[in-house]
Amino acid sequence: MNAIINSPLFGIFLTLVAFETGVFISKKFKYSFLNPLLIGNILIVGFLLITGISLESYNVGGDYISVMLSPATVVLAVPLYRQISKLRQFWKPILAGIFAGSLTSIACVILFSKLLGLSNTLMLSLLPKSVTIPMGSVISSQIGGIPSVTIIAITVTGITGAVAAPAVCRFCHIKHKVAQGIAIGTASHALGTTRAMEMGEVQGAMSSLAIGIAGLFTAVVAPLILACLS
Amino acid sequence: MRIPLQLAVIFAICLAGEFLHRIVGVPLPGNIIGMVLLLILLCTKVIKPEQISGVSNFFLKHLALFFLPPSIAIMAVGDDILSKWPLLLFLCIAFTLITIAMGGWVTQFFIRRQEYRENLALRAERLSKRAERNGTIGGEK
Repeated sequence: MNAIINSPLFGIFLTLVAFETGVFISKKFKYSFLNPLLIGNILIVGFLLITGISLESYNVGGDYISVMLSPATVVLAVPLYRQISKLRQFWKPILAGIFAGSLTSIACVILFSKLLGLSNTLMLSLLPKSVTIPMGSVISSQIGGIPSVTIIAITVTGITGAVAAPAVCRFCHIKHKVAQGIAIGTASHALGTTRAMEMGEVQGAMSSLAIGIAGLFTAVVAPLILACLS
Repeated sequence: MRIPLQLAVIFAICLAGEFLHRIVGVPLPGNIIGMVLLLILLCTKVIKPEQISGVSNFFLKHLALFFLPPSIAIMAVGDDILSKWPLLLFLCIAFTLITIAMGGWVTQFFIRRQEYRENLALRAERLSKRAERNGTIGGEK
């Protein structure tokens, strides 16, 4: 049995089944908090805990799918290319919005960590939570956080964005399509972008654009702010 | 292009991104560099969007799937942090909502200002043209 569990096929199969179950449930019940990723995560974690199969065994196959994050991020250039005229037209407001959003995210984490007396490591792990996973985990280890905590924070942030973005935009009267896309991508990276693409091609493209710039900005600014504080 | 060739192109771009990050030392993750590289290739018309549409549509449509395995890392998180999960969950959600609002407001504010100025400039141009035309008509009289 161990030979089966430690085969990459096991992790890949489990991931696909859990994700498709998640998609099925979220389509069936139509509550937006029933996100496919969230359901898939609960199913896999539950299954591993009940059967006692280790995370390492799962990752033998899971890593094959994680590797695909790389080409999946690269093809985000396609919707961006289709909307390049919007980028040319509004590049100044776009940069301003991304910087403001990223700074807000960083400031919130630092401020509330200090107020609530969270440990320093925890604060550093939460700091890059609005950045996409491949960038956020690197930033986290560079500034002294725990990458696995960062990945969880990034996932929660992404699901929140994917679920709540349209409601926040409505509530805050963010009506311009470019502004909606930038807000979603800056706050909730590629996971939020999946929702932004459903809202429209402009939102999707602007959201993909914001992922990279917000990540870059956080990578540069977070260490600087930390250096100033200490 | 056939799907295997499309995949080869996308993976070549990924590898180029990794090369620039790890060997050349560009301070951005390989996949973000790859995204920029593909954007440049599209803008310079080296690759047409239709040529890679099979692969790009697949990845764009099922983007969330590729985030599932990394998210299972929650099992490796220590108990001291897991015990604080209600607070951390609340903070993550609250910060995300604030960040969306802030990013959206600021972008929209500056877009509106830019559009307002462009409108003003346009109107001023029209007015000056009209004044010019009136001037020449007046001159003929």
